[in-house]
Amino acid sequence: MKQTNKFKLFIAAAALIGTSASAQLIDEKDVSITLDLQPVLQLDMTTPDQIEFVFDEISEYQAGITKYAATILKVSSTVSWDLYAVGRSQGNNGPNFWDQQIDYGNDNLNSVNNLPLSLLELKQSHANNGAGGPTIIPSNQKDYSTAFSNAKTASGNNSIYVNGGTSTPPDETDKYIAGHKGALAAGDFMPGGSYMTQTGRSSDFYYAIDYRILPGLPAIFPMAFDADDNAEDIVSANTAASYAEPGVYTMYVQYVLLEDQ
Amino acid sequence: MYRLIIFTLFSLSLSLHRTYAQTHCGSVELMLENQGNNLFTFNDFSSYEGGFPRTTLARLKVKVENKPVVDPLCSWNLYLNIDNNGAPIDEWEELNLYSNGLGQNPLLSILELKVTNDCETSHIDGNFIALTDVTDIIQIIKPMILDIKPANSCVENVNGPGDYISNYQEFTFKIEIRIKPGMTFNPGRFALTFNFRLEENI
Repeated sequence: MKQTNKFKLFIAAAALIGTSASAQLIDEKDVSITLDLQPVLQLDMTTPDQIEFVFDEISEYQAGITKYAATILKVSSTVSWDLYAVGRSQGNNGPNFWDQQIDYGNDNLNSVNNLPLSLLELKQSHANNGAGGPTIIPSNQKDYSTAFSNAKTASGNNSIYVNGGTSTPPDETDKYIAGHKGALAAGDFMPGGSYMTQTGRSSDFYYAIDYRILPGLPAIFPMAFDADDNAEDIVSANTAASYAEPGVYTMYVQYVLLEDQ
Repeated sequence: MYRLIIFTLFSLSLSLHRTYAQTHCGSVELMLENQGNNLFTFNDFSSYEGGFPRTTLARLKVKVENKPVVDPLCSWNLYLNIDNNGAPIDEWEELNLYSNGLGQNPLLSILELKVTNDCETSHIDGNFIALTDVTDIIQIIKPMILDIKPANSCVENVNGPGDYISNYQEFTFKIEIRIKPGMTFNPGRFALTFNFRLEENI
């Protein structure tokens, strides 16, 4: 027993000596740095103040008038983003209609001055690569990249999104120029970046927008469809004998760039 | 038994004495001089894409003294590690976000660090080193106890006793950083702490 205690004392002493052997002189200094990444979300737009569509030839009524690349959109963003267009007016004729500034003619009973905002068609230069999330039906209405349809074929593929005169973002099934509603699903947004570093005409940060208005004969605007792809042409919304009242009408297109929602 | 107690007490006194004694050097001292603002603000595309190209963060000044009775093994090493306060090891510490925060917080890799002095004594002198995660330890002067380079030799890894007053070009280190965040990370306020540690070699 005595031998065991002696051995324990010896081990303890040896351990103390061994521990002390690692003493070491040390000095330390710290420096902290802070990174302040402020969000930048910027839409640059090149476009005329007014884009005029003057219909004074029968062929223009039949084939419509197209303004190619009338608007250039360039995006720079440090956050994931969505870009959409929405048709709006002052609401003088109602929130979903063009504002009639003046009317021509004799106010025939069948002439209608409520022209739906959705009669304006857009075509973007290349497809929306940020709409991979929710299923969009029809699939070619996730954006405005489908070619303008033939004048004889009514289609809502390119009808501008309208939401009761508000700028509320389109829903999951509606058109965005880039990105899409929903922040959780994969691929339903555009990642941050800038047209300045990602150049080229097919850049996801650069879009050329064509506009078309096709009144048709009679002038019922067959390409007017609402966001749910329901026809809004003058006949569908009124009576079979209806047509657009000649006159001067105005509306505006609002382009909204927002952080992915 | 009596001899054993004497031996134990002697060992204990010896160990207590040695707890406060250095192994080889008399003293080591590290001074850090901040070189200005450590807040890096990115608020336009030029700064995001171009970054802060080259900014002096601090100057380190080293002073290592030998013992009164010179120990030929007195030498030192200097290294850096990074603290992100428990954030994921490859990310900056998040202080607050400016947006919905659904993206990626900045990675350490957006920051590069360079150590330099006149004699280029660090083996990483002159090169920007990209950080990967907080487990990285960046050796500025390597711990080489059996390969002591004396002060005033102006070669790589000078690690003998000396100080920044007599040998400024070997015992002073300029710490530069550059940060290039790009445009894919969450906006917000983020932080990192650099911990510089001077140790005598044992």
